[in-house]
Amino acid sequence: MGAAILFLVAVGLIVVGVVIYLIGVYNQLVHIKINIDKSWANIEVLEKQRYDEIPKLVKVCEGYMKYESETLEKIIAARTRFLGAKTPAEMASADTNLSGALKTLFAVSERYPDLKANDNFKQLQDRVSYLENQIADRREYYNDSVAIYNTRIKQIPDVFIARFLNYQPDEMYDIPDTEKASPDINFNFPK
Amino acid sequence: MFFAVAKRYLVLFPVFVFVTVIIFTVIVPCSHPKDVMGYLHEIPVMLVGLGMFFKGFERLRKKYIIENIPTSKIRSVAMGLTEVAGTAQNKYPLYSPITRTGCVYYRFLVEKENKGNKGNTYWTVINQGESTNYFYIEDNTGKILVDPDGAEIILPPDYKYTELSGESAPGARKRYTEWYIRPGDAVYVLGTVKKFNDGIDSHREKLIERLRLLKSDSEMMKHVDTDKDGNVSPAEWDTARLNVEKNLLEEELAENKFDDDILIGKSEISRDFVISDRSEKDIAWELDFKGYFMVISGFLVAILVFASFLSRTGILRGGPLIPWEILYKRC
Repeated sequence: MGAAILFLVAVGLIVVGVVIYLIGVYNQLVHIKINIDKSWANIEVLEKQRYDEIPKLVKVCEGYMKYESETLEKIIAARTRFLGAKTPAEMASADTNLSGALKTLFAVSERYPDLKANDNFKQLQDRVSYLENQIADRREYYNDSVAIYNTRIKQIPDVFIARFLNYQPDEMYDIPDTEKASPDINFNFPK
Repeated sequence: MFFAVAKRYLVLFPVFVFVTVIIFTVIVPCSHPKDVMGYLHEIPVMLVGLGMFFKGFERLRKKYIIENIPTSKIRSVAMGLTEVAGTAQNKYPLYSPITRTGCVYYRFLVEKENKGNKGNTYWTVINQGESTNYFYIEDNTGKILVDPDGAEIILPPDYKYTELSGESAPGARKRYTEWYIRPGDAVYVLGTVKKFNDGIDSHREKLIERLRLLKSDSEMMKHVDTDKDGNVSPAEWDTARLNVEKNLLEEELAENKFDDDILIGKSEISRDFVISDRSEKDIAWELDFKGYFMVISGFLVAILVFASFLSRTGILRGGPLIPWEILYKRC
C-alpha cells in the first residue's frame, strides 16, 4: 500500500515535470516565432521613416541638381518599388535598389558644393545614413532570430511540437546575387 | 527582492496550512512524541524539495529566453525585451562601500558569527545592500542607460574577507563579501527597453541651477543689465534666460545628452531582467546546470522525505526513516 503510494507520487511528479517541460518548449517556440514577427515589424518601422525622408531629400536636391534628373527619378522609382515589396526577398531586393540609388545621389552630390553646404541637405543626409545603419542592424537581428527559429524547429524534442503547430522554416533577409553588384556611379569631374 | 520572490510563492501557503492541519489533527495525535519532531521536519523539507523542483524549471526557462533572444546592437535597439552586450561605463561616480572600488554597480553583505546553545556556530546577516545608480552599457555602435533596480545580478564575489579569531570579541567575528562591476568591465544585460524622461527632467534641473547661479553672481548680473541702469528689467532677464538655455542646449547636444531618452530596466509585464559580467554562453551554461540540478535534486529530496514520512505514519512498512534528531546531537 505504502510502496504503491510512493510509486504513484514519484510517477506523478515525473509526469508533472514532463508536462512542464513540454509546455516550456511550446511556449519557447511561440516566443521565438513572435520575436521574428516583431523584428520584421521593427525593420518596417525604420524603412517607413527612411521612406518618408526621401521626398524631402529629393525636393532639396531638385533646386541644385537640375542636370541629374535621372538620378532623382531612379530614387523615386526605387521608393515606389519598395512600397510594393511584401516578402523578405522582395523587400531585400527593393531595399538594395533604394540604398544603391541613395548612395549614387550622395556620391553625385559631391559635384554640387552649394548643395553640400545646404543645412537641410546635410541634415537629411545624416538622418538617412543613420537610418540605413539602423536598418542594417535590425536586418542582422532579424536573420539571427530566423536562424534560432530554423534551428530550434529541427531539434529534438522541439521538432515534434513544431510539426504539431505546423511551423515551417522561415525566410532569411537575403540580398539577391543580382543586387549585390556595386552601384553604377559615373563621376564627370571637370578637366 | 526577497519579498518579490516570496510573493510569487505565496500561493503555496494555503497548501502548506492545509497539509499541516491534516497532519496535526489526524496523524500526530496517534504518534509517539519522537515522531512529532520527524513530521515537523519532513513537511517543510518536502515543500523545499518541491520548491526546488519547480524553481529548477524556472531556471531552465530563463536559460532558454537568454538563448532565444539574439543580441541587439545598441544603436538600433527596439522597445521591449532586448539583450545587449558591451562594456560598463559610469553615468555618476560610484564607489563600493567595503573596498572603496570605483564601480558602476555594487552589492555587499556583512555577516556576524553567532554561537548556538549546543556550541555550534552560524552566520547571520547584519547588513546588506546594493547600488541603484544608473550606468551605461556601450558597444561599438553606441551606449544606453541601464537601471539595475530589480535585476537578477549574476556576478561572482569580487571580495571576501572573514575576520580572524583575535580580531574581534570571541564568537563575534564578521564576514564581508562584495560584488561589483567596474567601468570597462564586459557586461551582459537582458532587460526591457523603455522610454525614460530623466533626460528632460535633468535638463530642467540644470537650467534652474544655472539661473540660480547667475542670479547669485553680482558680476554676471552686471552683464545681464545691458542698459546699465542698475536694474534688471523683465526683458533683460528674458534675454539672459534664453542665452543660458541656448548654451545649455548646445552643451547637451554636443554630449548627446538626449540619447538618454530610453533605458534598459525592469518591466511591469516581464520578469526577465538579468545583469552579469559573464558572457551569454557562460550564463546559459550556469542556468542550465543549476536548472537540471535543482529539478533532479528537488525530486529526489521530495521523494526520499515523503518515503520517510510514509514510514513514520506506518503506511510504508520497512521504508527509510530519516533520523532528524541527529541534527541536534553534539558529535
